Amino acid sequence: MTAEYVGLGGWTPEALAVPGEVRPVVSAPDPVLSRPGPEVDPTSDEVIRLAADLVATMRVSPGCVGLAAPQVGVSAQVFAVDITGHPKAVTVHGTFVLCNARVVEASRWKAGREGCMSVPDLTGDVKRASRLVVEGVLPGTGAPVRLVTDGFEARALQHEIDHCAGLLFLDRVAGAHAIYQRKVYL
Amino acid sequence: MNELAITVIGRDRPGIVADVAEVLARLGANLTDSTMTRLRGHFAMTLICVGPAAADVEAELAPLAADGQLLATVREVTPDGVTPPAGEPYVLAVHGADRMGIVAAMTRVLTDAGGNVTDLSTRLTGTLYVVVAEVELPPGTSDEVAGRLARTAAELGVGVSLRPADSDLL
Repeated sequence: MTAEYVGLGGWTPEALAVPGEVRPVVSAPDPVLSRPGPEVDPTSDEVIRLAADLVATMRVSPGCVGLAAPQVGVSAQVFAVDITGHPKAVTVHGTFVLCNARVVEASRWKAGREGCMSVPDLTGDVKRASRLVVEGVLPGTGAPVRLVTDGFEARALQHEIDHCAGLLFLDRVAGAHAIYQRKVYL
Repeated sequence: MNELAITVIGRDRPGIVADVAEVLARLGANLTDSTMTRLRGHFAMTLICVGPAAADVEAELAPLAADGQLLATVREVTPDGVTPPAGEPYVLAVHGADRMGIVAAMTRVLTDAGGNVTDLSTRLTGTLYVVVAEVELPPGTSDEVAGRLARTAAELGVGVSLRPADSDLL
């Protein structure tokens, strides 16, 4: 691999040049959520459409800061993230979609309680790195990206990369007493 | 379909869960929510099952209890009623020198404030007593509750903390 990884370079979903459509979000125990997704060709029309649809679906889902392809029923290594405006956000890269992403550096592990749109009734205590370096490629151009982030965005990225690998937060809970009935309170 | 509340408790040994779960599976009893944990050398299972009649489960569990090492109870219960509106989630931790009445006093504070305990564990190790609880509090009351808990804890000579247990939807 000689590709030089750089930042997002001002990428926005508009670069996909296709309108995203909202797709239904699947819930566990749908088997697609437990299947490792294959790598994708980021320049294919199918992946570009999927990327646009992930952004569109994420945007209409209240409180949603990330969505991975398996959550819309597609086994593939593609996910969207946008933590803009979240109260716990530190470093924020805006809205982006990554394909074939992997964690290359992870440190400063911290426990936190997280939930998932695809596991609507439960939350769980999961340790995640709060300093993170991720490499992947952008949909459309296939340009390599290296993202350095922290805190809440780091947590979101690890959660989505897990989805692409067929893992749910349930696979990482801290112990037998670390899953909870989700409390919906307003 | 009957909903059953089952408890099994006895001297801990490998295989209790497998033995009990096997009986339930054989009877077509679907194990739904449960907690199973070791408490000072005793293994305690509390579970809700859906399926057969209570008497059938009781009869099938009886051989497991025949040696006097396990106690099993089965009771039919009413399925989910109306659940009260959830409050704001917090984790309460209390620790200090063991003495009578810590759980009673601290949970009374929560109850009087309109709070609800949804999960609670205690451990006694040496003279150290630890309580950890998941609690729901009426919105906006946590500061006041924390103050009352601190006063009660001071009277008991124990330490207390109350921290938010909010979860992030990812």
